[in-house]
Amino acid sequence: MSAAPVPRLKRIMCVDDERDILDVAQLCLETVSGFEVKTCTSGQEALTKVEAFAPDLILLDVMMPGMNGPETLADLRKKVALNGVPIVFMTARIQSSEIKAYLKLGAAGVIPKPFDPMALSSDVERIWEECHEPSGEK
Amino acid sequence: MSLQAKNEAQAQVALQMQALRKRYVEKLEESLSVIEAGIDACDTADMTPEQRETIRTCAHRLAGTGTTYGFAAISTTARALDDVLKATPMIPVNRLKPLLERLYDACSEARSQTTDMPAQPGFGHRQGQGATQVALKPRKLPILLAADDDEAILSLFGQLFADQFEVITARHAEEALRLMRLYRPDIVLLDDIMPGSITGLKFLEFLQRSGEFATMPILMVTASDAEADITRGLNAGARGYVTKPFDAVEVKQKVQAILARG
Repeated sequence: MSAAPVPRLKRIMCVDDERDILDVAQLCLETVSGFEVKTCTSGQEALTKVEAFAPDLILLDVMMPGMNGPETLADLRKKVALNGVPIVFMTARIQSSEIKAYLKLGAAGVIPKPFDPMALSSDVERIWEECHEPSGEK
Repeated sequence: MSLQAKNEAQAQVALQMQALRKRYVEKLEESLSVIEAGIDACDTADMTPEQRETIRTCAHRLAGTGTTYGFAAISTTARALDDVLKATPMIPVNRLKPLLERLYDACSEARSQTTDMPAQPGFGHRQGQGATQVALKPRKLPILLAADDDEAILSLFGQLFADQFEVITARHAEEALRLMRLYRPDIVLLDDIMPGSITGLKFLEFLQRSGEFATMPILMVTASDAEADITRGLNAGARGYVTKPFDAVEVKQKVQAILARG
């Protein structure tokens, strides 16, 4: 039996309190790969907008004032409509113990900050494909 | 997306990144102010927990963004500072100073790469900076910016305030604005009639509209002595107005009075 094809990644929500990060991420994801991108500057904003936007994948900063990334992830996971939507942490804290902790929380992957703008789209697509590999499904 | 389309998209990103990069560098001025205040606090061994947190937030932000905008040295130096500030037990303030200085230099270098602003000499090896401003050593004295196109006046101000201020000078409004953003002077002495596209009074009104330096005291020192000019200057937020030819003692007293009022 052949594996199901990887669905096409179209809509990405980016959550980061840093406008400089959001602007670069949006520019690269939209222009290089043609994704539809919604940016949010806080976990709270993401929670209010996520269902209406219905992203295929969420990029989430770890350290944010107010609700941090893990707290936001926990609340996003309570939303039935987001069942199976990969949430990828973007963080500068990438020691192996920290990455293990993120994955244990339910993150689909980690993109280290600072990131290379030109490589962001391919990094996101790689994680998306890994999420849909038969043996790597999260 | 075809390979050609992808290449075109990447070229478009590179172009738009230039604009984002320019904005990023402009915003570095805010970070430089935070870092410089931190260096001052190291010198006086007087850093509040709030200031420590402000510096840590600034370092964290720079660590996560510098390389993305093409400034790896900012990320590297900011990461080192962020790590130290997160450490427990709390690192003594005197050990922060070299890290702050390195981050300051990295930000200053980034700015010089992207704009026509000259890089500031490193805190560790600051030298004189030519005709437009006096040498800036790590700050201990408050800063007075004198903006006037008359060299004799600037020289007089330099001598008059040498014992109380680090005096920096600008010869036109555009240069004054750049130095105000860079050094956040404690007081500005502003002439009205200067070369360039904007007079001192117009510059004052511009500052009032922008609100960027709302709390920075500005004393007009100018030959524009018409009643209407004086009213215009005071309405635009000048804390005082001295007409030329002036009495040096009077100017000094006015500066002291303005700073005393806060």
